[in-house]
Amino acid sequence: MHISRREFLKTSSALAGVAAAGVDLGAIAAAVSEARAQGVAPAGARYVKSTCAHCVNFCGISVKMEKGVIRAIYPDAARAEYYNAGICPKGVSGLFNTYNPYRIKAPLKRTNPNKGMSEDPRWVEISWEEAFSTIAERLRKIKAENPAKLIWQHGHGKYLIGDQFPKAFVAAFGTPNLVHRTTVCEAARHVADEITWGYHGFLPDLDNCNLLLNFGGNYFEGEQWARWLDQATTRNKERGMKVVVVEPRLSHCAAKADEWVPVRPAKDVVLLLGMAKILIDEGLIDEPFLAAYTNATSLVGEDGAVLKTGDGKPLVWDTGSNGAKPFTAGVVPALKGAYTVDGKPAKTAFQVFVESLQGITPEYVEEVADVPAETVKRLALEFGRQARIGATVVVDGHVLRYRPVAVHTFRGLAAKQFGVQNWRAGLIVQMLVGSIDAVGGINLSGVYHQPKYLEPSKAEYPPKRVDLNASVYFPHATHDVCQQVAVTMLDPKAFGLGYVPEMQIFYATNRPFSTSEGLKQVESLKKTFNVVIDIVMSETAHMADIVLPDLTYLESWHLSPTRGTIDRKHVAIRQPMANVFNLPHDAYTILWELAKRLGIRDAYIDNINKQWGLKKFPLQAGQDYSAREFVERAWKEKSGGKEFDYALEHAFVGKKLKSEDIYLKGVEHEFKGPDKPKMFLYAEQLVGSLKNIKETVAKHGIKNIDLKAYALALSPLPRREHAFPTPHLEARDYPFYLVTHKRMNRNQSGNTATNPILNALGADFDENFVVINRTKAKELGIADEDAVTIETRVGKVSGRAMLSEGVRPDTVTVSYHYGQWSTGLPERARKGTWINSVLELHPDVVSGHNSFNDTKCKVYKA
Amino acid sequence: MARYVRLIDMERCMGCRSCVAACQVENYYTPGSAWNVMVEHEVGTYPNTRKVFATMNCMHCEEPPCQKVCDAIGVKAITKNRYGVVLIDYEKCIGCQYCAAVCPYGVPQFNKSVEPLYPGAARVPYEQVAVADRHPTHRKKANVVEKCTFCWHKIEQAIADGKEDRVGKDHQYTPSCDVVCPVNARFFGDIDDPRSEVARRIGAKKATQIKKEFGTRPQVYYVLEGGDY
Amino acid sequence: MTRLLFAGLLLAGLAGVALAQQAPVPAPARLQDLATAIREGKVDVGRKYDASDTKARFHVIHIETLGMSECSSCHTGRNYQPDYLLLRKEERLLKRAGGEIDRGACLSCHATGGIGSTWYVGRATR
Repeated sequence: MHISRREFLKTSSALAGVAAAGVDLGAIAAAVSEARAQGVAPAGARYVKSTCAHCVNFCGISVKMEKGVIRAIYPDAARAEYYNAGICPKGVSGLFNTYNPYRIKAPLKRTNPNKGMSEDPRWVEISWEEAFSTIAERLRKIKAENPAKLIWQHGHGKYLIGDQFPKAFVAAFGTPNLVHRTTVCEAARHVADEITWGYHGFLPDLDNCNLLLNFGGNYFEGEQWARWLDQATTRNKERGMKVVVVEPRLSHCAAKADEWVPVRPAKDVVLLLGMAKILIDEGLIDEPFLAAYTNATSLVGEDGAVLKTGDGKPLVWDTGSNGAKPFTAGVVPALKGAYTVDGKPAKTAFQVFVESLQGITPEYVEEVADVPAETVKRLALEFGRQARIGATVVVDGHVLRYRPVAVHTFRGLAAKQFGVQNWRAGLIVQMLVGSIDAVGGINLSGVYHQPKYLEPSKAEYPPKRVDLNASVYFPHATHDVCQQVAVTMLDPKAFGLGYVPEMQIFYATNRPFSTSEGLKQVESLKKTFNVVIDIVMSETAHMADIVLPDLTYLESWHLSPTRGTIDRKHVAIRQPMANVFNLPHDAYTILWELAKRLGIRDAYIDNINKQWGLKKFPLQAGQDYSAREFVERAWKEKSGGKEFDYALEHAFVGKKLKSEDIYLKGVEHEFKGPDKPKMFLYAEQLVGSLKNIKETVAKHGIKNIDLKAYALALSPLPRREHAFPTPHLEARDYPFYLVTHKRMNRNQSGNTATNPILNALGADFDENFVVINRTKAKELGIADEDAVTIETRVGKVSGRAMLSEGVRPDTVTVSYHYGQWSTGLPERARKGTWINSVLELHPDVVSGHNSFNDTKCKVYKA
Repeated sequence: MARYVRLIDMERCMGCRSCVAACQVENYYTPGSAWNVMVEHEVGTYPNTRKVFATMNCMHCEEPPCQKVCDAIGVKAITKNRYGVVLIDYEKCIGCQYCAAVCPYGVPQFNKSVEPLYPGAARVPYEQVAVADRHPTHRKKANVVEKCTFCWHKIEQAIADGKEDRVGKDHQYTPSCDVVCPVNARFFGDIDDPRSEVARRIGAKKATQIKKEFGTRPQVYYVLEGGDY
Repeated sequence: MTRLLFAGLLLAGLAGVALAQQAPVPAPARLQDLATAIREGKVDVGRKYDASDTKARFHVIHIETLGMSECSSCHTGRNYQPDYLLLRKEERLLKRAGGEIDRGACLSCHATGGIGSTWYVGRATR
């Protein structure tokens, strides 16, 4: 490591305007007496409103500044009405994200040509000019040859300056390869939403909900919308809402729930299907909803495809005329039954679903998912009865469906080999009781915003993108497939990629550290010339050729993303309050400078205007804009022309939505009744996608696609087989299920690892543990804090045991953001277990989502 | 005269430890000597398990044993002011730790030294704020005892600004641990003001003080959930 | 410094106490008399106030003067259960103390009406 600690110190202490390091106790005493004698009061503070960007919640903050020093960070009280009531420990201690002596302080060049975990990169500081000219020269060559050879990857960078800028840059440059991180988060949930109702995203309508079933969503420890979900859940639990948490590990959500249902890992889908069967058998279903809003009434042929008219309208069985017709006015579609259409047998989609549930009895669920049959019955009946099927409520004069039950999830159902199918089962259970977009149910965002999501995938080949997004490999991946870049890079030809990428720019992402089979991810970084823009020496930066320092979220401008809730929306900015290391650039200006040097600035500007939707206040070609100048224009555009001074003072402007906007613009408007598209209980487009995949595979002689596996993954209905990811079938000698979880105080990117406050929130907060069931551990002779080994089919990793009553006896769980190894971090920041390095990778082929929770392992005393 | 109290609603607490972090940042954390800690433990046996989260800080007792013992030995470093806040004067403290020995809540923390936040690295600008610019409660010293002050520097500011009515409401006048809680599990204010949120909630949620047998009459109330009191 | 500090366990039948390195003091007949003697300065228990120093007066009073000679008179030698919320589990009462202390031991002498100085007074509620 070239940047020695001494140099860090040198740089740190060379800060302008701060006193020399070290504390002289005598001097303190003298100063105290002097201050007393003079009656000196603490210096006057000022408060700067801004928006936190430590995670993806974007909380309103009020930052206390004293004599130019960031003294403390509080929640912005004015934002409480729109989003966050408080802030998390990361946000509270966010000043140490900025005042971190281990930040990168100057551009660095690798001088050791060998890359590897144990290789010293032998960094040499270079000037910004040298950095820019080296990068621009390489980019010019790539642009001339084939722009696709450049890959831009970001993770949190998306939220630091907005992915609109990188998207504008790659568009101007000409590469299709821009890769975000959603397949380590909740991409499968999004894709399940998309193939069901034409867009993604939802929130439970907690203020009106009476029963929340949470499948592994962990908003008490860290998740999108967490700062709203936490307070809304707590508030409504006090009102009487019941919370049931279904997950193998007792998260903080489960810890505070009315009931914890420790389901066996990956088997949730069977529990949901078992509940669906009970709801149907007991008649606890909303038949009018299924008929009017969903494609449950569509007729399905023997090949699984929905029967359609010549112009593509799906057929239903009209009980009035006793014939197959499109669902137009006057038609009364049958929900159940088998019919003959044009001499061929057909069934309603609902009928197909009912028959697929045969055998998924409570006893079967108990056998597979290890949830007692009694509990399965009770949960299903409670859900069905609490849904109050048929009830309406009048809100602001509107008669609305009232179904106060909701199913919520995040990585719990998504981060699986069959993530899409798991969440599809959750959506279907909610369709059965008619709670979707009802008062008290889940409230969908942007319903039918993208009708193309309800169409089959074209299953393109050869893939255009290195992550194989939307290709034959990941036919419905619409959120990039971040972990696939490394896999493709190790053998581009195997995936038919028509070029070999040469250069990658990573912006605020720690990709190899954050995904499964981490060692392979690291290995792939040897294949390209890598530029990393970040605030600390992440593991990705360790594998870079050039590292550029970035400004932190307290040092830079941004028109911040925000988290709108069910009934609130707001526009916010982030503004700088320090520049601790006097850095001249952040990612915004780095991109701008590169665009200029490449001669694509005006194309970049044009794309920025498109990406940001700047119409009234666009950037003009031929001009340069500082980040602040951009934010001023974007603020005016998005806030309806509000003065920028208002933004500087308040940092946001919010509005409350009307009840018709909340409840009547979604499925009511898009799907209800005849002559409307329908929400897909039966994901009919997947049948078409599979057909296209088969054709593509045959046409190109593709060898590395297992059509049987794709047929299973692309099933139009969730099935019991979706509870059996590959390791569960194959790794029979590995007795434990291995799942991963999040803790509030850490992220994977490395910038929290040195935070002295986050590491001191309690004993052992600077490391993670292998959490093992107490009784099981005793059987294995493992005591608290014993050194243990986790062995999977990928490899071995060591850790310390933590015995707990809060985990299944057949499961071990490890948080996934410890065990960093970058030599740019001090030893004490590298404690713990890097669990991602031993996770098997079997991504969900529908969405590309990483399978974080499917691995099996052995655990033994080290 | 306001009598300030805190309510910690353990039923609402989700265990995030924001209050722990906020205390440390606000009060120039001395590594190893937290003024506000989280006690977290499991209840029950698998699969009937839950977790309990309790944060502990100075109880600002109406009958503070720490002050009594400090007075008794003639050191008189501990005062309880007319707002009910118990404070330690680092200039008078002799580091005998008698206060720590008598506090039933394990509150006073003794430091052998005041280490930098980043061991081996230079003190960062936040740490370099001049002593004269710090409130006396933040002029950390070695060989003295320190503890939670109810963020007295903020209450003092409220008094100076004539904003006592904003204590418990505005972040510049309210203890930081209470300000940052994401789920409104903490409340601060004047228990003698019948309209204050804290007074109303103490009654409505049947809050109580802990370890009453010591007769310390804490000014921190708990809505209890689980655990051994 | 007229008032002295002590804490103690009521040891039934305690007849006399050997005082280390001090001028002979008449053995008090009752613990309360001894307590009074310490408070009145009639017993020299040293001048160093440091609860963590076993040679300083805090320990001299309790161990040598009052005869609570076993560490286990105060220190339990075990940690509290993790759900014992009244204590800060992550800190010993005194960081270098050799085991946690059951405060019941202090309470028996130092509450209102006890023979020791009154640290724990008043009623629990108003």
